Amino acid sequence: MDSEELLDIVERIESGATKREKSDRPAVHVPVDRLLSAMRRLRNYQWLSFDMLVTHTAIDWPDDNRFELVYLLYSTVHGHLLERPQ
Amino acid sequence: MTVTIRTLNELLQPSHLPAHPLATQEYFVNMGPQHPISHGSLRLVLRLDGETVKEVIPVPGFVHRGVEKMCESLTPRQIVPYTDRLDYLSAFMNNWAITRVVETAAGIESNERIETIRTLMSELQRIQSHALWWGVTGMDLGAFTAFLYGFREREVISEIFEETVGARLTMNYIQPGGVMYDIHPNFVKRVKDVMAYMKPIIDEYDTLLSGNVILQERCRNIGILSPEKAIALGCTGPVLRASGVPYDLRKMENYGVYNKVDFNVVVGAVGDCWDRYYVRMQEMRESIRIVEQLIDSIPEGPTMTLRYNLPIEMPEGTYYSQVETARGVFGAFLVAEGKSEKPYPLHFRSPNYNNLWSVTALAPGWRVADIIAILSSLDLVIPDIDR
Amino acid sequence: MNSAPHIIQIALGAASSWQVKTVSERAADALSSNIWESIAYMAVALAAVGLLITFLGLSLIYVERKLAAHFQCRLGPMRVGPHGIFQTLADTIKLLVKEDIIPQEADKPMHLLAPFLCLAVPVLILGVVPYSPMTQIADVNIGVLFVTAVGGFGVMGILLGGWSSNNKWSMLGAMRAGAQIISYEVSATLALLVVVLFAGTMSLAGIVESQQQGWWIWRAHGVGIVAFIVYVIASTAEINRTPFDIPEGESELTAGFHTEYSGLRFSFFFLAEFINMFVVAALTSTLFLGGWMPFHIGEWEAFNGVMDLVPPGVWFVGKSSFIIFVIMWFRWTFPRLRVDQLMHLEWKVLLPIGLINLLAAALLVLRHLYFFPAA
Repeated sequence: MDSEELLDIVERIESGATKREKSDRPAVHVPVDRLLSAMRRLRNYQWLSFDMLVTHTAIDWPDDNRFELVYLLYSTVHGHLLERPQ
Repeated sequence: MTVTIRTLNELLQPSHLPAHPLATQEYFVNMGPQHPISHGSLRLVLRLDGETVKEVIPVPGFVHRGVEKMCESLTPRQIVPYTDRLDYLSAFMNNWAITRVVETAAGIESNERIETIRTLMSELQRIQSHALWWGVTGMDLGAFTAFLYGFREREVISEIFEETVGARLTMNYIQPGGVMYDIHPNFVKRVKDVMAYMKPIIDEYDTLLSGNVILQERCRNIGILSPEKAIALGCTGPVLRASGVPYDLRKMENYGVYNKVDFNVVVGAVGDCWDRYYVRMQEMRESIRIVEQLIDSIPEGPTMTLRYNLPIEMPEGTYYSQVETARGVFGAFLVAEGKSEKPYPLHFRSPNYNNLWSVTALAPGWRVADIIAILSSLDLVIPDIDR
Repeated sequence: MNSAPHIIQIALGAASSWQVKTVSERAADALSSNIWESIAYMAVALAAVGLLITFLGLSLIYVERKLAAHFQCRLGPMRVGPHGIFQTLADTIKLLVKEDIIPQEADKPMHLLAPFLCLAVPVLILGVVPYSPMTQIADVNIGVLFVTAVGGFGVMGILLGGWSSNNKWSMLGAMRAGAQIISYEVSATLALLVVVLFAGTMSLAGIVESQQQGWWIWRAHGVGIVAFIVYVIASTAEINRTPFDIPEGESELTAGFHTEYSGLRFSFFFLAEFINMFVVAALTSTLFLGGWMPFHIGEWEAFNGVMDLVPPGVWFVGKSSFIIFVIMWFRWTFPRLRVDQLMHLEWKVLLPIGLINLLAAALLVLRHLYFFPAA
């Protein structure tokens, strides 16, 4: 599964998820109210099974008065990495 | 979704008061921040019932230096020497992680020679780190002699580093675009000598400590970490591999020249302290294999592809790169604004932080002495936890 | 106890008819004559004991450090004096001038008392050990009982020290020590009883005398060897040495029961540990290795004659040193056991072995089955 396919799947399973540009890894944006369900799906769907949270951090954007939470997920089953700033 | 946040004060309330004057009461002890086991400044609050551990509450942060914040005002080349002060036993690998993320971001090419040298140095350091860990584990379990044997081998490898890098502990060597200096003329010969010396030494380690019945008793079936739990906690490195998950970035990320060498990913079967012990012992052997395969064929070429005085321009975007250090996955998450060469935020994903929290899952139900075995099998480096 | 001259006659054989006054006889004479002589004798004895302890402490600590160093591929102390022989002396001076810290919440009298209790025990036992046919401060006719009783007292100092420090780590260490020492005493006593059965006496001098035909470790059809091993293991545990240094457990309990001690009081605990080690070694050699008795092989007259030339004191020191070396060897090679494993070893392994061994010994003695039975 290449990164394009991966992003397509994520976009399909979670409404509101959009591809994140300018990232060196496959990354999607998820609105904050969809975070929990998106995470659950990412973990539980067999063909995704992102079971490891590699790290999570935050990017502060004081000019826009918001901050992004970044979750880096990894699937030990399939071996793909997904970066999910939301 | 609700998240309950419990403060440390709330956690430190006894779970029950004795109903009967003869009933036992739980009590708390501080293991650390100044304690021989913490090998640095790590505070563990133990909730004990007699000698049985009910709960372990790690309280990190005593060596917090704000490295990530400092990095926001530094150029990539200036960040490199900060990374080797995080996990000082994996200095090369940490250098490599930040170098990789900067190289990806700025599109800097590297060459075969540079990658080979980086791989060689990292593997040498993995051996060194594991040798030191072996000694420290021996000391933690009461066999003080092992400690000095471990240091003896560390010294030999340190001398190789000293010759090429100039430093023995915090090596600032792997730079964006290459390596700081070319290898010393003696390097190849010295490494060969040391590898020939190390092979029987690791067997000696086995005879000295691994086969000891007391060590086996102290480690076998103690602190079993199931693969599911290990993954859920984000454990990496030997801790995860000991639980039977063959997750090694050297195979998966395809960086350096690891795809050209033949080596095995060592996995454990049970996930107890003994597996974590033995995975590291075998990893030393595998690392020696990697070094031996590479040392004879270091390609020719420049060791720096970038001019020093030019700023490194990173286009806007988020970048993440990771390497396998001696303790697990060390990652650097960098957001570039595209305006200056300084990172906007920079986040380090340190293996020890995640590995530390596995102690909360491992420890309950065991004795105080088992906490020692568990902690030393996790091989924590405290400055890396606190950053 | 009048057996002392008798021993010497046996030891020196029929050829010699020297009349040697043993120290204990001198003591008996002095104490029963006028009061000034008694006081003088006591003063001399006190000074001698003090010197002996100091000498033992300094030399054993030095030996330990040097041995540890050589086990660990290093040199150890090398700076103060030739090969660092004055290093322990310098350290002692350092400990003497260090501040004596008593924690605010500590139980002060108990805290002050504990180190002395700890040191008193091995010193009392030193009094009954026969160093050579001449040198034994007091030959108590219930020597073995005395050693066991006084030895059991030693745990008091550790318990008090841990309890009065008002520190949870000290407390844990003290409780571990209490459990450990009391448990292992059982096995040690069972091993001692084997020798008492064979020797037919409780007097330590009498036990040495009974080994003229051969040491108890050999003479008793394997029972002696088992008792010897059980005794060495149990007494290593009793004196809290690695692999049984659980009460101190440096990497677990910071320093266990003596966490809160500093300066001179700490050095008392430290000294007690080393004197204890010597006591254990001395008792082991007295009971199982023939004490000051030279090494004889059956009818080899020439060989035995050569062996007799070595003074008994040297035999005793040599045997004790060997045991001390073995105990130090343990320390610098073994990891530490866990508390429950330690208890498992005692109650489920050593104790049954000790009991069966004692029964076997009783049967052997009953049937006179041991080698070279006394005529």
